[in-house]
Amino acid sequence: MKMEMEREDLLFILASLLFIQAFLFANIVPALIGAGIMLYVGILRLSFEPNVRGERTIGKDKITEDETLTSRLKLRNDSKIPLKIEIIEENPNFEAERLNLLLEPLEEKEVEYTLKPKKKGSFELEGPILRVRDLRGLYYEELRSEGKASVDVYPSVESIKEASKADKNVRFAEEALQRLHVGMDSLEIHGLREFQAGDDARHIDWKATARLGEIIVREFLREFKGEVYLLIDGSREIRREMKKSKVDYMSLLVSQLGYYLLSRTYPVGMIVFDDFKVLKVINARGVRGQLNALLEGLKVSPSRGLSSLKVPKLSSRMNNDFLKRVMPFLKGRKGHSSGIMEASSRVPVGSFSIIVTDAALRPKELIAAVENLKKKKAYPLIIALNPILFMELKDLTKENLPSIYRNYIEREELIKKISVLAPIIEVGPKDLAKEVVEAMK
Amino acid sequence: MIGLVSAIVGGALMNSYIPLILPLIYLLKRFNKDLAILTFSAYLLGLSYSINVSSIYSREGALAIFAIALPNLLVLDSLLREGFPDFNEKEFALSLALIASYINEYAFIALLIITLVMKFHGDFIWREPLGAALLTGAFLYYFRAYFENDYVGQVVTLITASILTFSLLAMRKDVKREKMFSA
Repeated sequence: MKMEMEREDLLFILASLLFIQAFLFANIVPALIGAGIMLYVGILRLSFEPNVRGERTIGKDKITEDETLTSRLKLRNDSKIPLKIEIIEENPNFEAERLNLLLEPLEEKEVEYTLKPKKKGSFELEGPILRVRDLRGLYYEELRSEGKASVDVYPSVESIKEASKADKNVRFAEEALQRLHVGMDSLEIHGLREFQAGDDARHIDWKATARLGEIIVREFLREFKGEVYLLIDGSREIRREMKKSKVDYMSLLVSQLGYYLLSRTYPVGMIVFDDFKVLKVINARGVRGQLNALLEGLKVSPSRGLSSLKVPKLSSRMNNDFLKRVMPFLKGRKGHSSGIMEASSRVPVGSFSIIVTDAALRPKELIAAVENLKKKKAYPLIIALNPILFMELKDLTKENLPSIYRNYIEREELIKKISVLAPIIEVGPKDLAKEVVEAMK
Repeated sequence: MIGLVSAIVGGALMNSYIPLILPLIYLLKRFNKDLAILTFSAYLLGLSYSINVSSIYSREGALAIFAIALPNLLVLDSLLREGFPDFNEKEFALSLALIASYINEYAFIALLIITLVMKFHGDFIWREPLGAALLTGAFLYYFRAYFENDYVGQVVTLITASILTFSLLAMRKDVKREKMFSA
């Protein structure tokens, strides 16, 4: 339990008790001590001038999660008394030790300390708070030092490797390639796995099936030297869905897919789009450092507000020709071509494409984009982020549960319809490896 | 640590041996600073009860300022400062001199003033508070004929001067105050 009394108050109470004692016992000594304490506290209070300036610079603006950031802080005491200064980094996404130092009057000092990121993503770092105290610990002032900086923290190669090692992730990425139905199986057997809908019956390993009591198929290494393009939805709505940890989710998803594909020598590119236009294009390359380029291109910050769970009807949206022409202008864009459509046009002929979006956000545009990609023989796979799976427990209340369930059912029906056109995998936070989900927290 | 030596010697000069418990309070500070200050408050009440001086105009009254009030302010200061009090060569020499000055009150007073200047020089803004203290002294000296046999008058003057000085100088400054047992 913390006592809420201030130290200065205790000294005042002591002085008052001494004054009372002087009256009661006809004694001048307590009055002298009491007057001395009052004068002493008065001098301390009068002398306390927290005039300290601080300016911080940061070594790098891009680091991986296992690196540390070097922060250099220049401090100057412009007051006439020595002051104790505590440096407090208040950004919850970084870990820093609390530093204490003493600054003599008009002294200037430079301190260096490290910041360890706790999360991945893009962060705005304010200058640290300087808690300035007098040497007796009676008074303090909190000042903000200068030096705003933005820092991008990427997943480290090690964590991506670890995550990729996890069987579930490898299976996830392999499944993605498998479902593309592009590329030729080589004669080299990659491994055995359980039978899945859509597998060729000729690949069933009958011996293993008899031994294990369930249908097991042989997997062959695939030979394909085409390019793979990741079409990433960076629209406002998806950023809302991905707020907080889910931004990490997107970067981890891309980094795992990217790492997996690059490690199998596929050239990987990325196109980030929003509702209206293409935001970023990274051409497919199979070189070292491409993963970093992908992650850098993914810089999307989370958006405020709640995500909409409403599933639009495939037939009802934009049926009216007039609305179709007018709505884009009302929303501030020039034409009615959507960002996803433009992104699909940018994918080169004959490459793989993996669309990462919420399938229920704009199903009509998604279908049009899939058809466009198919025409270009750039067979797509859709990884659909399901906002319902991203909901936190606290968002679920007795009142909104029925509507969430209704939306979930509608969503499943829509996904079923889209899956006729292109393979679709619905994902939530649990589709990443356990270790990664832990790291996302 | 020099505050501790001066408080013990000053107490001895006033025939009080209560300051001998101060080392225990210093040890208590090692565990908790606020607990040490609370104990020190109780000690001060006990100390001032044990020494009875009815007038500031007597020899004992003047000696009480230098032998009791000021040394105990030095103790309070070292208890409020963070960390265990350091004890350098200069302080060691001054402490030895203070112990030796037990035989001469004036030497003790002179050494105490040197100690005060050495300890507080550069840490404080002195001008206004020192002016207020001198003004109070001058007031008491000028009206000594009225207050000589009136301890209530002396106490009221001291209280009024303290409250006025604090209100006029310090209260106008808005500061954030540290809580007890906060760190």
